[in-house]
Amino acid sequence: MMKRLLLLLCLAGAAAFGGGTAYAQGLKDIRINEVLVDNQTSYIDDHGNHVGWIELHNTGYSNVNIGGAYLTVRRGDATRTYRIPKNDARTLIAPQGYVIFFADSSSNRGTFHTNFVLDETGYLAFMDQGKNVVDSIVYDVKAQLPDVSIGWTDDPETGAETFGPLAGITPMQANEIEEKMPASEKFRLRDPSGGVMALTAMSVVFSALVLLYLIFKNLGRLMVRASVKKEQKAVAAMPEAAKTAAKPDQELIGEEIAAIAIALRRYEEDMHDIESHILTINRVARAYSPWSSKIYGLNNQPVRK
Amino acid sequence: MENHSFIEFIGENLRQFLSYTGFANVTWGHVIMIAIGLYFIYLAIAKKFEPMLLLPIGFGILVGNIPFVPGLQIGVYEDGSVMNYLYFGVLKGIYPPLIFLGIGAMTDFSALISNPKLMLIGAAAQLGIFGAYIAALALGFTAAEAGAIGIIGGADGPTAIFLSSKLAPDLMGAIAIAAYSYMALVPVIQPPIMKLLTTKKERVIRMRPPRQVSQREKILFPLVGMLLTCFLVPSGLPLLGMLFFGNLLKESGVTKRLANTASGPLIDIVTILIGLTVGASTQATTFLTWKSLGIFGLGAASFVVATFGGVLFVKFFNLFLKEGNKINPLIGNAGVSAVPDSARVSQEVGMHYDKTNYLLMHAMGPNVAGVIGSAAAAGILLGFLS
Repeated sequence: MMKRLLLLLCLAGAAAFGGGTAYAQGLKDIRINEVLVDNQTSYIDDHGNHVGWIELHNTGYSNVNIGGAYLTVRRGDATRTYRIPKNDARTLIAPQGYVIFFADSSSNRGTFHTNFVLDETGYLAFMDQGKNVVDSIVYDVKAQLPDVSIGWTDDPETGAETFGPLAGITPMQANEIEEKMPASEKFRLRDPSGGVMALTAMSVVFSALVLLYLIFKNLGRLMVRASVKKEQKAVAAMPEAAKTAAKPDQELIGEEIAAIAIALRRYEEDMHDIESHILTINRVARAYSPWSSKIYGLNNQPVRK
Repeated sequence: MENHSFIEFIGENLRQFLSYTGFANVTWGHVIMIAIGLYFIYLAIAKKFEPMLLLPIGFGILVGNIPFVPGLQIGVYEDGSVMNYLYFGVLKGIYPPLIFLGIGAMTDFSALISNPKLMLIGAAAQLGIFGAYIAALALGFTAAEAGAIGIIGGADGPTAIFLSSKLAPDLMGAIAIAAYSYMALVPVIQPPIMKLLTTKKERVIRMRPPRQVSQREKILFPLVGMLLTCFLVPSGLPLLGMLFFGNLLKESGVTKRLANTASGPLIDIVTILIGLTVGASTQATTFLTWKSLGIFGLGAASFVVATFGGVLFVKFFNLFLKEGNKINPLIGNAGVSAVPDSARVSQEVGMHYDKTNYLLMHAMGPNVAGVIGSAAAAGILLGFLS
């Protein structure tokens, strides 16, 4: 019985999952959002230099500490792999927050200076503590223009995210300079009449309730079967005389049960005639509270003595 | 000379005081809104139309429409005012899930568990939401506004407030007022549609009495219900999660105190706060617009479409059901949620045609399924449009 229930629940779970992608939180929320390879005159680092930089973005809705993770421009090459120090509070990226690393091959300058530069390999990866790649980009070093960064941005035509040259550099902020069209209006552009929304949403509501219906229909059957089995077991354990009385054709119908219940109640009410005359004397007492006390609430009349 | 300047000084102060009074700042908008607030209070007390909601909302309308000079940190929209702090719970969608917790803790899902096919009626009645969405788009509302207006058809006040606070906060006052007004008017709106769509023979269909539901099933229902619906529509989690959590508190049998608090004092407190602040948010300047009028029209239409959807779906469903298993289409209207008023309407209309046919228990099935359905629909709209 329990096994069948478990199986049913597992099936429901599998149906709900539907083979979709599961998203883990933490370092997986970090992505390489924007990179400037050839910095001539734009963003200046904390030492007053124009160097290439990497912007990481926390796409999630919880704090992520990137201390202990790696940035690399060539996997397996320790001289071009930078381990982000663990003991710096600034490596905690706030939800939807950004952090900039300066690729100046001068890691001795601080937490946010890497031991590599960006104009060598055309590859950049962000890796977790186990050196598994979380996000990576490939770019053509020779094609990089001075002071033109590359990064993720929405295609104005399709709305899909693409990685490429940006209209302007946007360190420590979202890459879209122009105001983004709200999701609802994008949806409207595709579905001006609202028919697709109505169909899709009704299908989802129906599927949710149909799944619930199927589960509880079968669960109900299982429960009824289980109760019948229980009843049969109980009948089997009864003595012969009681079994004859409990035969299905002699079962009481609802009206009969109601009539018996009313009769019993009336009988019990009659039995209680005498008790209804009993008087119970309870002490009447009010809980004392200084908030409701008259002593404190009223001014006493002056008494002449 | 000194006396003269003193009188001038007093006069100046009096003039200033008068300029701060409501009488000096009153507009026709305020008067109209105060009249609406008083009418709501009248409906609640004299007609007993949803008094728990209409009374706080009505009084809130009075509170929100006392004319004052801006900048004194009094109004609901002024940062730092007490009303603004209380309104925060509406604006950030905190109160509706708490109300759902209470609803879950006071709802008995037995009718639904014993006859699970009634769940489908709850889904069909959500047609009103999307009918209103389409109509609102056609009338020129933005997609987000249309979604928030459409949810009025779900006939679920907390859901309407929750969704409108996320999609169209500017319209929330009008949407909440429309949703609660039509919920109060369910006994007026639904019966003519139910009678129009059903035949005499259908109205007297007797449904099989629901079977007894074991406690194990009652405990499994909120667990499975929450997992399934929230996996499918994660954006409905605040509402659905709290609804099923409240129900588990009730059915588990081991958290009676928590269930009592959720279904008693907690929901009462939140109802007072949500009613008062939603009412107060209908300041004449933000409420008396053509958009509000459109919202009221669309809200009425969505209720009508939802009732049509529920009743017609039962008739359609009956085509596939064997004799003896058929559903009385008069319970189709209950799919619009509005718990328990629409179920009560089913019972009353049913009793009108057969005095011994009790539909209330059966109607509670689609009624609570409607709550689940409208919360899921809100989740979908939120997912698509935000």
